[in-house]
Amino acid sequence: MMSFGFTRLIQRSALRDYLEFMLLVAFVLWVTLSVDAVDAQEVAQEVAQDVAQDAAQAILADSTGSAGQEVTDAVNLWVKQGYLNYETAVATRCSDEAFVRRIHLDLIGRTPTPTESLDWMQSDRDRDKLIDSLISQEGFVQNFADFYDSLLMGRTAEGTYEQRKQHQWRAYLEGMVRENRPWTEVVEEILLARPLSEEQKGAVWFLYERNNDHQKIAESIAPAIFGLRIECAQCHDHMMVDEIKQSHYWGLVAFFNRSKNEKSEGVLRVSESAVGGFSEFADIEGSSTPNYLTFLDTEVVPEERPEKSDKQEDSDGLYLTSERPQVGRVPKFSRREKFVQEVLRDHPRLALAFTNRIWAILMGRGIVHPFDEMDSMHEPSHPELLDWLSKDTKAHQFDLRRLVRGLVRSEAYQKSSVRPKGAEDPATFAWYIERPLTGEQLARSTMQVLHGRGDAEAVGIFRQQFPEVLPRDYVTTVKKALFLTNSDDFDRLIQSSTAPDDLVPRLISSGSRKDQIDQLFQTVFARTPDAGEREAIGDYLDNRRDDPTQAMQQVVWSMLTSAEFRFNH
Amino acid sequence: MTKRGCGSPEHTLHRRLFLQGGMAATASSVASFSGLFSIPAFAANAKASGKKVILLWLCGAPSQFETWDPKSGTETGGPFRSIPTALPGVHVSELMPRCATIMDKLAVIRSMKTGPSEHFQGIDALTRGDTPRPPFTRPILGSVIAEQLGDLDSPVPQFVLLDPCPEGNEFKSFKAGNWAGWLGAEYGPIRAGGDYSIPNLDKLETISDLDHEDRETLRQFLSRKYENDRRSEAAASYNAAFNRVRGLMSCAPLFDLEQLPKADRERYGRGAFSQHALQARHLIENGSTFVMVANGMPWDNHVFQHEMHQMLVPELDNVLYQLVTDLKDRDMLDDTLVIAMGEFGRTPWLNEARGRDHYPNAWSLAMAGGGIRGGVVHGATDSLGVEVVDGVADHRNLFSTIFSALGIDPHHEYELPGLPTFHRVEGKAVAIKELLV
Amino acid sequence: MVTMLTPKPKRIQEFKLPTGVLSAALSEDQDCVACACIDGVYLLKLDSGELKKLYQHGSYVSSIEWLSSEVIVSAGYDGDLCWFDVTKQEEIRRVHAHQFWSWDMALSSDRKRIATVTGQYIAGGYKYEPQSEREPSLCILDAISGKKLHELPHVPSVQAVAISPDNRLVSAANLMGEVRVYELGSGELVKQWTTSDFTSWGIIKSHSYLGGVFSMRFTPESDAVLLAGMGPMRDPMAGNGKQLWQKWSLSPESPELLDQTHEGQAGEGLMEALAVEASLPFFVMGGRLRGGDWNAAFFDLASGDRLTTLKTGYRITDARFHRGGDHFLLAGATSQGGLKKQGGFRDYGRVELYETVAEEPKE
Repeated sequence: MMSFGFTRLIQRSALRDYLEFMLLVAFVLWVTLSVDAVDAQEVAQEVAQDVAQDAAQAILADSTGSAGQEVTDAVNLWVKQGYLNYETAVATRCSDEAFVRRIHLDLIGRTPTPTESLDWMQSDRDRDKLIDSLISQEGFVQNFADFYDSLLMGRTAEGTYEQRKQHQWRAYLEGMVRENRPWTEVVEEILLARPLSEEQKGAVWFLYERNNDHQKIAESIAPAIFGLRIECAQCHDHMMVDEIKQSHYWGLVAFFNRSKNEKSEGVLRVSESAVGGFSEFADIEGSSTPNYLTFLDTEVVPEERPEKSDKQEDSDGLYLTSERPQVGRVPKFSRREKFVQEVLRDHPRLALAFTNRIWAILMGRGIVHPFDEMDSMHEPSHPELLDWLSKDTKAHQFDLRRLVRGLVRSEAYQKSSVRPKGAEDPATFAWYIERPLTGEQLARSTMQVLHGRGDAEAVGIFRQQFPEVLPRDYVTTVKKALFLTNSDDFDRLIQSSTAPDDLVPRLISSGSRKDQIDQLFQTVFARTPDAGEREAIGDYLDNRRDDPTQAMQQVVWSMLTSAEFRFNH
Repeated sequence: MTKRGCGSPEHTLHRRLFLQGGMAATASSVASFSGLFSIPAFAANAKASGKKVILLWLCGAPSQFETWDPKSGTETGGPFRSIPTALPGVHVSELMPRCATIMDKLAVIRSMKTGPSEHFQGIDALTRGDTPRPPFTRPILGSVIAEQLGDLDSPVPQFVLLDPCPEGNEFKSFKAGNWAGWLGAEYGPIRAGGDYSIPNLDKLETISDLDHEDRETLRQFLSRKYENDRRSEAAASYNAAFNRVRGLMSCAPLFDLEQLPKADRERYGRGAFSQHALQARHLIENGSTFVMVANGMPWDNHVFQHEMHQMLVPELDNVLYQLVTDLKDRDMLDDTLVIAMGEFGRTPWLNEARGRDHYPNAWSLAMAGGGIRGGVVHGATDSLGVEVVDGVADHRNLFSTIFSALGIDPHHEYELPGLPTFHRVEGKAVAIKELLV
Repeated sequence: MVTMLTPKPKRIQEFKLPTGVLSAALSEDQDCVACACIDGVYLLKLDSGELKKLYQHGSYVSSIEWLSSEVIVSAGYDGDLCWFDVTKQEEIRRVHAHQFWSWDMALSSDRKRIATVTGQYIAGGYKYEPQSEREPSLCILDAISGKKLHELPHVPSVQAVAISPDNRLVSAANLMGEVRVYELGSGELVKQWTTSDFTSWGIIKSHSYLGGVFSMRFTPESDAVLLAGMGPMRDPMAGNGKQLWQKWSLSPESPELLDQTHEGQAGEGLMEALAVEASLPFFVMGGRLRGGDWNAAFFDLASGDRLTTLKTGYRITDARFHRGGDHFLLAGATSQGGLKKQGGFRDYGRVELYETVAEEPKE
């Protein structure tokens, strides 16, 4: 059709304006020519597609900045093109009030304090500045460490969380986010589990917690790192996803099946043997195959396979020794090392899975959904965008902050969460997809509201009750409602809001009824109440003058348990 | 909705004052809520008219050869013999001696032929009645029945899932999904049983009844606005969960196995599935509309097929027998449909691991009561049970039959503004006539 | 220093049978094999490969033994024991020993006593603990007359039985790993213990028990028993428990676990066959290969070390030494496979004969 090769010559800002314009042209074409709707749509879509492709090239050619504006441009471009392709209505831009709460939750994992939200609302309301400020806060580190922990390790009992902390896993994750370390480096460290420095000590825990269960190790590596679920390939080739074979499952297991937990003098180590680990797997029909070192589309890693009748002798000559107690001796032929070098390093899925996951965290669902089933059964909603983003991610050494900044600055991220009529498919990202707060976010936000501090005190309670992280469907069980209604644990948090600066005493001692209610809404919902809300709460508090503290506690309960607080929107 | 009050003047006064303010907009939901609260007992309307359903969900997929369609003595028959039943000429597996005596009350379909051969997809098709069409979620059978036949004003949950096994592989993932689909979360199940005993059912001591009610009313006021503004399914599900709290608290004893008569508990059998089947009867008697009983995914016997079926089938045999005879004795069978089925059948041939694998091509299920004609065996398979040779039926025919039996229009078009056209059963699939009363 | 014998198995004959073989026994003259199959009892001539179906049970035939050079006795899932004269081609007697399956049958070395075990696993508790027996689980019969001598209690399902080489003891083990040892003569209980290592309680898919002990043999000195099965699984439908044997002492002190599959010497799969031979210092365990690289392996009786392995490509259901240990026999089944285009199923039973090739290790 048309060529837009000259876009490269256009200045960056002009380029954006131009793209906006062309998309508008496409949109107008689509609308005005609707007499012959099908044709017009096709024309519009083609125009949009061409514009997008040219623009993408232009953006990619110039995607050198670390601010991530190119990321934002790319998202804006393709998501907007998607609106045309999917023929969806699109939500408006969200209000500043909505934004300030949303961005705090998504970036630093808790709702803003009334000061934080009001200060910003009363300033120039510069969204980009707020984003930059939040990204550099410690809360960002905690929030993303929470996500990485859940996605890499899964939910567990509190005792195990304690161990994760004690053995420096938590610190390791926090360090990774704090220092913006490339994901590729981190993944290599945790799978090799041979830390080279004291700071890396915690890297051992990823394998160690799986306690020599090599299948469990394989089953967690696949989704967390490759964005794939492989469990059903244990007994047979995946029935519906051709690219996942039984040999991949057992191959991945084999890369780790010489590993063994060791603990001496308080030092944890995942040692590796130089021999053994040869085995065969049988399918349900009974025919068996050797477990060659292979995973997905990579070549089989060559390895000498002894005859069955031969017993492999283990000897010191097969190992190198390391000075570091956390490493111990290392086999000269190390399967873990081979995995890192020959499968993991530069595997294209790493960037795809990483990008899709960060996207899912910030946008409410993956471009491939579910985010950890990136197989041929689950098509991406915006394939070019995912491709572009993952290339960009790779080109920028998996710079988390760049990606995050780029995404939350996008128009799609800043859409209202009010879904307009004519918008049905969440895969269009035509509105901000509301999402439940994770257990950690709920805990930190609740503590912020009640006690003015977003610390981790209640995290243990909440993550046990609200374990879901990026759920496919969010369905609230009555058990959760009962917990919030009748449990001592939750009640105690409200009852203990008694220090002078805590919410309940602060409200009671503050001026007029209106002030009380306004402060309350600012603290809990980060917004001002409307007239109806002011009246309802006012009436209730007036009615309960007999016990203002208890009355206020009731109101606080009703707000903390409301859907508005439960979700990020 | 009907308004009910507890009659206490103080209560009424307080409520009226409270409602004069900004709450007026939500008055109707408030009213029905306080109505819920004041119902003293739940058994009053227990025998209210209307049909009810107990679904014995045999997750993992049982073998038709070891249950309803034995092929004893053939190459595919397995080690168990077949026995005659109350229906002349009809045999079932020797593992089902009790059901054999009440075959005149049961209806068996021996000619199920369905598509999906993996659990998740099979469960989807056989509990929702159709294969998925993302992003739309078809409601599960229990939600449809609860919506059509249930009494939403009842404190007793209308749709209950009793499943003591919190895991279950694909069934576990399925359980975590959206069951009520486009009908809305209020028609989703209450989950209970075993490890899923319901904690926090007792009211806090720190708070009075009145406060308990008031703060929930406030909560609803704040939440509804949010839900309506966003047409949010997640918020709807969240609010629906809270709506159930009060009702559930009032009927907590219904969920306590220990309160069931000891003799009944012995009679049903001691396994978790049996106990929860008894609880299902109890819930139905007390006002629930649809109770689904499962126990993880025990029927998926890729290994130890006969070793596991020797235990599972007799348990099912007894449970089905006890349920049907109890309902008959209580004069409830005509109004209560009992269904026993899984998501597909199992292969005629044995695998190397002494197991039978997934087989959707020719399998069986059983029903009784609730508008289904007893003493009918519909359809047939060939001598080895490999293919259906007569009366082939798929999940759509099955759902059409179930809805017809319960007096629900199977071909009704859903009113779903903004969504594509969906029907309760797609493709105008017909009911199996000979199974209908 | 004891001379070590090292097994080096070499297959010399293999046969396919129409249906799965659950048990097989070589005749005294070593000319033919009596096979207990899913669809009946077969006689297999070793020289010609000729296969003859002798008779049927009402269900799968689970065990078979030669009482003499002419007479075989079989047991089946119909609960029957059947005596059959191979020379005359006629049935001598049928005894309905159990209401449920005969899971396993053992013949004493003097061929005077038969022991058979039964029991149906029925849910007896909320967590599917097995219900207590509805008929005696262990039945001792006179091998000549077929007369029941003792009916002894156990907890269903009792899946494995063995008689000691000295003909003094009979031992039976069940789903829950409970082993009971009785005096063969008096029927008096002499030992009883439970090992939970063979039993799974399904955490993932099902809350019920499965697995248990699937084979049992006494050691040549009759002072210990070997048990075989597979280790616990979280998902019982995976069949991926460890290939497991255990050796338990029968010394006067309380029963004691002496040894079990050594670390790193086993893959995954249900083990359902054990063979011990008085003249050999090792034993064989066989079953199904689920993960790993063998489904039959030789283990040193004294040290417990794995000596050599075999991969047969089918599930092994029975293993026996004969000719004083020079040869051994394996029986089993592959998958039945789907229905063939022209109808019928593949021949899925297997019987194989091996030379043990026990040789002195080079020093």
